[in-house]
Amino acid sequence: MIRCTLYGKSLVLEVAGELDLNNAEEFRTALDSLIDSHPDVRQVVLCMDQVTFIDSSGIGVLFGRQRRMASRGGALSIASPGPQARRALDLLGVPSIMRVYDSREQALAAEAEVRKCTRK
Amino acid sequence: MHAKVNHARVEFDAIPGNLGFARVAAASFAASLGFTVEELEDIKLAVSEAVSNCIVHAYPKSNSGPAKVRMNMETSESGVTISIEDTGVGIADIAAARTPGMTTDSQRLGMGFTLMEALANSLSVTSEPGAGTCVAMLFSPGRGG
Ligand SMILES: Nc1ncnc2c1ncn2[C@@H]1O[C@H](COP(=O)(O)OP(=O)(O)OP(=O)(O)O)[C@@H](O)[C@H]1O
Ligand SMILES: [Mg+2]
Repeated sequence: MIRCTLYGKSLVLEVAGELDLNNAEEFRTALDSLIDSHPDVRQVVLCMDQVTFIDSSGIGVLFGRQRRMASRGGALSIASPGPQARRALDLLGVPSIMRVYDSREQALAAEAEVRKCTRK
Repeated sequence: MHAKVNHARVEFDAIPGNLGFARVAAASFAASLGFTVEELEDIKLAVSEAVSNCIVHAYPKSNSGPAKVRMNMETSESGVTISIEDTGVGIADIAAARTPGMTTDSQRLGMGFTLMEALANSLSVTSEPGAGTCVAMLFSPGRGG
């Protein structure tokens, strides 16, 4: 259910469809196995432009994966949410916990910048 | 120009596979009332939260009885009222359950009721432990932001 591309130390994931209770467990398992199989990755960028619907069940999965990435000194960020996803993320206060970028390019550029700073 | 009063009711099994159906049913019932696309998306999100709660909380897996959700939709001069009802375990302390971040499931956010409150013009929760829960939400078109 997730397309995955590695850009240096950033893992870019593309997910599509509706993220709700119907597939939250599948979504969580898929994200966890991708995170586990890339132990060197510090930044996971989740592209959400193909996500047509998300509710608290889906966003709960994002919070959990963000915590997992934080525990290895990394982060999960969100890129290109559509209008519905943006609204749900905002209502749940996600932007104060995870970085939310308008596009994948912005996310990758910003993440590269963050890495440069933390390396110094 | 007032919409004629209209009413519909659907009953479905309390399973995750019916969430999409419940969202679309509610939004298409409301669609004739002049809601914007964004407002219809808000209705879908609120319905998704209420129905998810019936599936996750109202009917623990150990229960073998019929696990059904009933969704009642009614138009009025103020908009559409959508009530979502289960005959599950009920909620002993409704005020506590509605508190942001309050959950009985460590895997969840405890934000469902908070979202419903933000999305609907008004939200009422009635419940009786052992008998079930009813969540009624009013949505009015053109309420903005
Ligand atoms: N239909 C219901 N039947 C029984 N208990 C319910 C029902 N709806 C909600 N509850 C109780 O109220 C609590 C709060 O519900 P709420 O939707 O706000 O959060 P949640 O479902 O726990 O988490 P989230 O919605 O963020 O995934 C639940 O944890 C549950 O204990
Ligand atoms: Mg909930």
